[in-house]
Amino acid sequence: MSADAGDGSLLDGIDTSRIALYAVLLAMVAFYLAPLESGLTTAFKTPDGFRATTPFAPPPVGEFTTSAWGTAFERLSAGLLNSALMAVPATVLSALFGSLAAYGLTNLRWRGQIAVLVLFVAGVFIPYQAVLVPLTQFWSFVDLGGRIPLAVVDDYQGLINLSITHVAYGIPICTVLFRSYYATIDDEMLEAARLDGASAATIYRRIILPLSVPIFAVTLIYQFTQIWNDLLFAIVLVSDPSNQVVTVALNQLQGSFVQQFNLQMAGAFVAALPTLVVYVLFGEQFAKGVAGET
Amino acid sequence: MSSRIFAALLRDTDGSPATEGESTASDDPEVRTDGGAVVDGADDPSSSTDTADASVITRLRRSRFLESLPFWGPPGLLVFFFVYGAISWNFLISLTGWEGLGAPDYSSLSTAAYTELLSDASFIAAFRNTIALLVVFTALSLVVGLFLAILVDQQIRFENTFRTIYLLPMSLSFVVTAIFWSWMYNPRIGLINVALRGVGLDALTQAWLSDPRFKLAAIIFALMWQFSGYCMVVYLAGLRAIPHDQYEAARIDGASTVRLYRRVIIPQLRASTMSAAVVLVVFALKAFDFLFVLFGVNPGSSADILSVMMFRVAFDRLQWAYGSAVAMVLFLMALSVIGPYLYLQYRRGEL
Repeated sequence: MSADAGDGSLLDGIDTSRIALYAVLLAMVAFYLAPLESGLTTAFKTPDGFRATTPFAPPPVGEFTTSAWGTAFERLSAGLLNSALMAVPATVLSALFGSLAAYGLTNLRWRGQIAVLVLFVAGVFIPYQAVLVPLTQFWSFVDLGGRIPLAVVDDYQGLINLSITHVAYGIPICTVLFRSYYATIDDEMLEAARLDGASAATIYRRIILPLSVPIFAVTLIYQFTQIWNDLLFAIVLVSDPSNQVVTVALNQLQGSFVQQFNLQMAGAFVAALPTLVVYVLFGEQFAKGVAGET
Repeated sequence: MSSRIFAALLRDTDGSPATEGESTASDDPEVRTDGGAVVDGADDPSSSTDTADASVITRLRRSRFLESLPFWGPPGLLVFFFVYGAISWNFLISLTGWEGLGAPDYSSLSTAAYTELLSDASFIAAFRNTIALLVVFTALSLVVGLFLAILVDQQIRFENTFRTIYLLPMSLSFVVTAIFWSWMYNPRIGLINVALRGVGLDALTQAWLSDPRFKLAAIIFALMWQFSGYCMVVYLAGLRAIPHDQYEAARIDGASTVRLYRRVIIPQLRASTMSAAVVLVVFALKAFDFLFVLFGVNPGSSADILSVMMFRVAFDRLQWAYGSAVAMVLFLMALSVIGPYLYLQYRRGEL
């Protein structure tokens, strides 16, 4: 009997510290989800509803509406499409360039490559403000639409400029991500392939690329999120309203419906949806991409 | 013991599998332990084949260079042009005095913009706020991130779910999070003031985003919310790299959990702290989107930071040269952080 009581108190002792741990963990969950939760409930409320109820409470009966979502989607659908047209090619290209550069600067060893590598790595940390004015000068000088007599180029000039810009500024981080992975590839295997007469290109295609699938996943997911979420380059480089990306469109929606919080919140979720879906499906890869920035 | 700690410090901080390239270190030119300050000098003395025929080796190396060029050349060209070319061009523009809708005149250059900066009250305010933002935001995010990492590292259930939730804000655009937080901070019906009133702390309710006393603090708090999950990920990788027997040893010595972390574990996370801090500081320097969505180009002198000022001066007032000068200050600030960091990484063979 006394032994039982002893066991019980011991378990209790373990449990209270574990319970406290989980209580803190859950409190932190509440902290990180509160802005999203209060946004989500607000997005389903009528204006009367969000003025009368607390932000985190679910919409009361009669004050529930999905109309904000409809309006938000209507306002942002063109931006969503433009963002996808711009972000997908930019993501793929910057990852591909990053992979190539990392291979050339990691697995093919030569003197002085560390100096080139430093230039790549430093590019990760550049404040974009330091290139904004030259960028606008450069793209107005290049004037793709004026030089290439194709309707597509003319119609999507802003998006093409933005996409290429994102490719260029995405290369440094992609190179860093690929490099940390390629540094773990067994040198002897590559050396053996070389002795068999395989060229650098063949080794890349036959050995490196097939091994790169996991790091491609990490890089693509990380880069897609970064490019999709960007606002600064988009406001500076895209002037044509028909080429507006979703972050810019959302910022305008927020500015033009000042007191309509349900619409603002619905808009925020609509614009974030692609990255949220990617994050929920590939959270692990995103975390690796984020950690690889260091 | 000290050598073991040193080895732990040398470990990579990211979570990718088998990041320690120690097995290949012998013929790896960049993993030098002699602290070689010369970037491309000094043949590797460890490989005995080098002595056979130096000219063959040179030729081989040259051919390796040529062989590798098609791979890093094109992306390198893009980076060189868009990053380094553009920064040089930006510096040139900052010397021209260029304003308005015309084209810059590169024939007469002067540093007038920079001397003007020193006597510009709005620049000094923005500079001060930038420093305050980067110091407080970085410190706060690191502390919260470390706290989260230690919590998550206690062999908890649903670890993945907790981690995913803490990192979630990092996947959102600043436009999205700024909209969420402007709603959170709404003085009348926002969650923060509603919650304060709910627990009887009416006296603490504030107009968070319009009161000059609280603006910058409110921004820092929201940015901490968004970035602390990132710090958690970095610290968690650092924690997981510490050999398990160190925990055991401390336990056997009878150290309490708090003592274990303070004396044994946290000191070994210096490398994680440093790399996370660099990323946070550099982010704080270029933070723009969040403030722009909340305040437009005029956050007011209590919350103005250099990155917003640069945009306002250049793209709102069309004072291109002056804006470029502000941008150069930002660039130099970033350089003063990343320069030493990259040098240290290089010395440690972690680049």
